[in-house]
Amino acid sequence: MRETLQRLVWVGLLVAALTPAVSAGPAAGRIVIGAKNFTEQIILGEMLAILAEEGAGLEVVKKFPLGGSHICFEAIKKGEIDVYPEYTGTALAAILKLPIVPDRVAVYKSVKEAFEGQYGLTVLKPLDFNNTYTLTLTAARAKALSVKSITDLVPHAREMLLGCTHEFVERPDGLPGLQKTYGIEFREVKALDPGLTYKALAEGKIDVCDGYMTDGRIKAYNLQVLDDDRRFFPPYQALPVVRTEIVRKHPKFREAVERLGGLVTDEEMREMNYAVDDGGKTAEEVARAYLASKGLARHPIAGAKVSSHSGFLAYMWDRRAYLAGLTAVHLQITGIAVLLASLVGLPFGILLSRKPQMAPASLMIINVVQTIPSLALLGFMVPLLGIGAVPAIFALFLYALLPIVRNTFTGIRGVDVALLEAARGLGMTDRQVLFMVELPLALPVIMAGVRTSTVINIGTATLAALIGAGGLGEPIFRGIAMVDPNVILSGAVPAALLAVAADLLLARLEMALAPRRRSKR
Amino acid sequence: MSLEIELSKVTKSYGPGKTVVRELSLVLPAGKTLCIIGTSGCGKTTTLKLINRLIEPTSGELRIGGRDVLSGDVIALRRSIGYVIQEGGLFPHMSVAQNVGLVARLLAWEPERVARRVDELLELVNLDPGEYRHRYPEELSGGQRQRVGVARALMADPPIVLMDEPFGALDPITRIGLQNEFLRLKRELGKTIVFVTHDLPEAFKLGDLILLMHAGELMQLGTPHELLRKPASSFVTDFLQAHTIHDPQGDAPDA
Repeated sequence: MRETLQRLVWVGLLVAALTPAVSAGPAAGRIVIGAKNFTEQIILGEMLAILAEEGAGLEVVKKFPLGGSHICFEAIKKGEIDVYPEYTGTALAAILKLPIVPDRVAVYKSVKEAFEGQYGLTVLKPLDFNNTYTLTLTAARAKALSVKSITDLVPHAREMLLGCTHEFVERPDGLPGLQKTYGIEFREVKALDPGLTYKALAEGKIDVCDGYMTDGRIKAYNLQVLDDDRRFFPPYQALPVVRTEIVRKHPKFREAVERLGGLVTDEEMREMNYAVDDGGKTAEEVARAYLASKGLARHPIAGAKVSSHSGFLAYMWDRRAYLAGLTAVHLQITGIAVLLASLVGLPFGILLSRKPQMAPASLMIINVVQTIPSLALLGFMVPLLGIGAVPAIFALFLYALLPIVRNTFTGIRGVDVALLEAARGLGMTDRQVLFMVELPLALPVIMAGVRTSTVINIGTATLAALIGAGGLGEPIFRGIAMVDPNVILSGAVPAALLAVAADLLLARLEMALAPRRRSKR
Repeated sequence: MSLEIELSKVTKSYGPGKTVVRELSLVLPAGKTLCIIGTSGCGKTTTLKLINRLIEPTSGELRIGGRDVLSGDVIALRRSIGYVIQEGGLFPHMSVAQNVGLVARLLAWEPERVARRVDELLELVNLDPGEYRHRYPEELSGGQRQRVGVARALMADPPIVLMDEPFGALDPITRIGLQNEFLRLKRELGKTIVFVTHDLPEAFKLGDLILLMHAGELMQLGTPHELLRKPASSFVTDFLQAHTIHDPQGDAPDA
């Protein structure tokens, strides 16, 4: 009796921990803002947030950083985000796959036409700066080789290692187009996160990297920007893209954002990027300071917030409410995924133990799912399920399945044959053999599978932030984008602690659920 | 209560050349103990499992108390037959009381009735209920586990008990003690018992009838005395000569 009670309490606690609803879609008076995973986008995202809050009185939900242009565009098409900053050239070449043209106005017009005509999106006035792609190398190297333009680089490229973002490798307005236009071939190409390329270049780990013209670190690391002498790269003006429905519903939001049109020069954007990447400021502070200087937002209250954080623990303490919220979301995503995987995996494992001839093929199929790289699986979910918690939970569910199915199967198959014979010989039905003998005896092995799933999932769930599901991956990817180890650690440390805590808790649960084999004496 | 067991022309085959029991016919009168002996792989355990249909015969007939049981409900059949296996086959996650009371719980007895019967049986197999009821199999010695296994088989007072090398893994002293208790229980309870053993002296000590098998076939069926005095073949003679057998006919014959 006491045992049963104890089990019920455990199950109750588990359910209670998992029930709070997963974040719902955009509601009236609310606006969901997206942005890609690099500093400039995060600053622009913060600007949009401030304008929405102060200019239009909307409640803001920030869903950024999201893992790239593709994910942002899929998300806004599905209505999972309402607005995000795009670039004219990116929209033209990478999203619409239209031929690349050099003229600013022409690019803007074709993008506006296509977005508004085909996708129900409204394109607001572009900002002034042009964050075009460039190739960069260290100033010293450029001088030694006397390379000033991309054409100058072509003869040296065969001995060089190019480090660039994953997007750059694929996009028609990236490496493929560059190769076609200039006939340039590198010795090797390595794809890196956008937060890491300049540092790798400055440290001599790569020879050339793709650069964003407005990136503050070009100056900070003393890099040489190469002239695009054949005018290959299209213009990349920042462009607020909003769902048309939102523009209609909240005309004040449009007004507020349009006031930004034509503002922000190359130099201003570069300074803001630098202030975040290397100046120890937060994206929000920088965004607010700029908007305030143009009279578009209230000035920050002087001295209210210390911008540079004195230490990691102080930083964590400052942001405890935010981090606690992320931890809760993280737990929900993984908890629901593991719970669903258990609900499916346990019966499936039992089925396989009854029909072992099905096992090799079934386990292999589940195994193949397991081998799909997590980021790829998440990316694959976006066109099917959009962004946010649902695709993240589904992907994590698929990952959690294998350990649970496999352990249920092997746990049941591992029960002593003599005991099964005794059970049947005493007149147990198949169902009674399963519930009274096989499952209780296999429970430790099954629970080990659930534990493995949970711990793996807590780690993998950090990637879910890239598709807007939130959780502790959010500070990790922001930190990578802004090259701020404190920010990275503020996500990574709680995630690691969560994994350890979950493992210990499940070990306790296992002990509470495991059938006793010794009397209390 | 006890019932007669009758096998007629029972064959178990897993395909051509894989016949493990061939055309076995025998009648075991109610209340008698049959000991099945033979070399390893001779089909003695298979024969035992044919009786509670853990193994279904390929052909032949099986009657218990004159009733054909091959077509009836297999679960009901097994619940009416006690089953003891080597080392007791106790469930490690159930206490002694839960193991012993298992069949009664399957039959949905009242909990008080189960508890009363469990204590009664523990006393019958010489285990103090107060001390052993709540223990778990891992906390028992081999002999104690075997006693619990016997108690579990007797829970629902079945007319028939099947025992598959129950004392096989015990040390000689414990083994002889349990054999003597078996003889006492047999007299007290009067069950029909089928007892598989590879130990010839044990078979001669416990069995009213002995079935000697080889390669799935009956070599001889008879009382211990008949096997010794009138061996049916040279195989029987050779088999018995490999051991020193004490003719129980010289002692007080079984009533």
